[in-house]
Amino acid sequence: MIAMSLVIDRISMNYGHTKVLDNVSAIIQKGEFLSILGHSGCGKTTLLKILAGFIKPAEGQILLHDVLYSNNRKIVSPGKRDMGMVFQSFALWPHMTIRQHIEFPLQCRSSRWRSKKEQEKAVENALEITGLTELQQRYPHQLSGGQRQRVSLARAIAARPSLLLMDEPLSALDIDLRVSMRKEIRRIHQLIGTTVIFVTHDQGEALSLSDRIMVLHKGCVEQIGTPEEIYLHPQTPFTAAFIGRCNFIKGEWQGTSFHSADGKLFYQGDIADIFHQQQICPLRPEQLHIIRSGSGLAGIIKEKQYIGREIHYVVSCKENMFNVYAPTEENYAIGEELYLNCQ
Amino acid sequence: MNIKKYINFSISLKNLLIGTIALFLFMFPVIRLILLSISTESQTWTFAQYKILITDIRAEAAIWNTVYISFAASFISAAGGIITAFFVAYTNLRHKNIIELLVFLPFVIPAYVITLSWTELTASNGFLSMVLEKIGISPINLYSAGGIIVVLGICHISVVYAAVVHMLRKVPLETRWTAQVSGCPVWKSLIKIDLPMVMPAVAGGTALAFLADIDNFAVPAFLGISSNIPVLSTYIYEKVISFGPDSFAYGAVLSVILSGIALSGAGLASMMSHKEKIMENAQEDYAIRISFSSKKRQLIEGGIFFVLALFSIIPFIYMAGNAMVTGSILSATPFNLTWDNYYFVFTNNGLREAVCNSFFMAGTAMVLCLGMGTLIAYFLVRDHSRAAVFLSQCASITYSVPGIVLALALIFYWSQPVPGINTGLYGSYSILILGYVTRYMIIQIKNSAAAFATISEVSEQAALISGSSYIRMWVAVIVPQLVAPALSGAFFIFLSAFTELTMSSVMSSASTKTIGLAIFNLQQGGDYNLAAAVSIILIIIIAIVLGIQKIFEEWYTKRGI
Repeated sequence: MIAMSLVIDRISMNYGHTKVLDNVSAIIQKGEFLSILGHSGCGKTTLLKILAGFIKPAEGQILLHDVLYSNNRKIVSPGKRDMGMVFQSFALWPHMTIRQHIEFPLQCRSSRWRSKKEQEKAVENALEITGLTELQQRYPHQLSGGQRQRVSLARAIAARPSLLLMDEPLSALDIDLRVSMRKEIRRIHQLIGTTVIFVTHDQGEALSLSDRIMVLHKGCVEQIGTPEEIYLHPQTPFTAAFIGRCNFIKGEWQGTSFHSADGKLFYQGDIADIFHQQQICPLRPEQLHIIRSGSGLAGIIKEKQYIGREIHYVVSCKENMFNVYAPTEENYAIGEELYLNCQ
Repeated sequence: MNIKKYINFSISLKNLLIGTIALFLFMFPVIRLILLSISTESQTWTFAQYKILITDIRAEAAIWNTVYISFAASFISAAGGIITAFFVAYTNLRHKNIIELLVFLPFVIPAYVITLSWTELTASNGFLSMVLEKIGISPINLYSAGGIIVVLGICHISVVYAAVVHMLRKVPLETRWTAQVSGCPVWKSLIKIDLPMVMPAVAGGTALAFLADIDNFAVPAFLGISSNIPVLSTYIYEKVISFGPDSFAYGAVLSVILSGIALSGAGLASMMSHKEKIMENAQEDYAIRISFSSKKRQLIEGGIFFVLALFSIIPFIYMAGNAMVTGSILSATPFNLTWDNYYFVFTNNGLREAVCNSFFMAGTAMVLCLGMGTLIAYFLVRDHSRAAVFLSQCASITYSVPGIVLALALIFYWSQPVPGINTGLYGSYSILILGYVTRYMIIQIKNSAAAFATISEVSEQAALISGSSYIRMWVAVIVPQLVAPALSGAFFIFLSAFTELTMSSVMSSASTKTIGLAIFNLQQGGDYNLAAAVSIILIIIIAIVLGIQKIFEEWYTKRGI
């Protein structure tokens, strides 16, 4: 139902003469997990701040449940929005205990909570979901990084908001902690079913957590789609190159058939129009196969990286460098001459 | 939201308000004083008044004395500061925190109390003089240029120490090791490597000590007035209280000259600190670099503690003793020790009033600075308000301008801030409170601004998006995090205003006498024992205030703030 969703309608934003966001639109369904993915400076944090109500957009509007939250004339203040937010730097308050952090949003929105008992139940619930029940009387300086992030999360969900905004919440954590926190976030999302907007520059996070991904580049939406769509059917060269590795083969398109410039490589498939127009074919490293003899692009192995479950090669074909992943069993040496095809 | 619109509209109103306060409270008094010095009855924009530089011998003497006394004193401070900093930063001496405490004592205890204790100790009919006579040295006379130089020098050792000790620790350990490996003896590497590397801090610290020396009123007032050694700060004081026909104009000219000397000193200091930027980001290394053998160490510790005790503790003990007798301490026996002097302090109306006045005015100034300073700091850090920056700059000027100059400027300005309005503020509590606020506001602004800088903006955003109103955000989130650093600034302002002498010497009247002024009057009148008693009580009050501050600090750190 459209009524229960978040509508981002043609949002544009400038800082001075620089256009930071350009005509960004999306409709997010209730309970959906949407990641906003892009480089630093692509405008994703600005978009989040507009969603939160800290900045007014130059153009466009934001609606939640059919209620106007922002346009270029007025905004509903952050406190009045039905949202929670998790910050990259946790934004914890050093003078409050964990429990007091979680009680805070409930006390602020106390009009919604009828009795003290209901408030307490909500607090206990949030503590339980994030696994902090035993630490509730501690202060932030007594906690580890991962625990602090959970507090930030617990505070954001305590009042059961319709929308949860997360601004690169895992960037400040160690790598192994990031992976385990991914699972936590996924579990909590499935448990409480709130709509989530998750900003990140890490494609791994975006691919593994999201129902859909919005790829932002220089303030413009490159593509919005499910992780499969983004990965297997990129709609723009940027998206193709940004997610995973991508090789661009030059050649000619005829309908859905492609052959490389020297006629040695053939591909058949459904690729976005813009690649047809630019006469290139995007192929992932795992879609290219190495053969010692036969028909294919001629090349020489320049680099070789042993990953464990596979080997990553960089193959030089005339002026181009292509990334190819091959199983460990096929062991090629640097300098070896061979052929690439995509059968 | 309607409120948001209102705030957006009135922010420019706020800037207007802040700018107006900056001008009327801080800038105009100083400008008016400068204008006063370059105008006469008949014409403005004339340097006619500056002819006193040629005609008035006393003015010439005052200028010369100010410069050479402060110069010499700053060298003493530098020597003491470098040596102490070296021992604390590099060696394996024990009880370093006690050494630091003793070094900073002259910073916390007012200069006039230190001067008083020293004059008691070296009094010609005193114990020390007797001892010196026995070994053939004439008694030390502090009522001389030399005396002023030494006392000033010792008072400001802490200024140079503070600058140098941090810099010494930032000198990379590797430089010492490289020197050792190359076969260079320790003392040589200290002089050829460490000393040049910390020279910017030494120079900067010495320049700051110089500034403190020329600004100082208490020491040359206590020691120089009766011995006819004028410096600019005391000469201006003499001019102002004489209430002659051209007193203020004369005082204005002297003030501009004194400020000129101060500005050059400040310029020198900032030039030096620019060179410090090279090692600014280096980490302080607390490792011990020079280890003495335990025998040598004991010897050095003994020496240092003896010297520090001689400078800091013994004079106070002597003064405490003097406070217990009603004649010369030499006539003291266990039987004629008396609490009379202390009793007098508590019962005499004038003295009691002085203590209460100081409490009242310092307390009011502290609260005003806390409120206004914190607000300005918020606009400075969060809004990057240019008006707030301007106000901070003006407040910096009123802090670095010599105290006596600021006092004169304020007296002159507030008697008629706008042509036609005579406020009659002179001699009231208000003018002194105004003086303290004008002088110390920048301390609070700086402290609170540093506090805001540590409270990240997201801390506030997190509160807002949790549903909090602005008021709740301030009360529940911001203020608790501010309390520790803001209060440390507030305590410093309270103690400075409470013990202050320079401004109250010219701005007080009989009914608004401060405790510093009371001690000054007693000493000038020859009532040394009573002055000693009041000083001891003052020290006790300072200790109590510091104790309260310490308790507050412990409470914060437990709460994790």
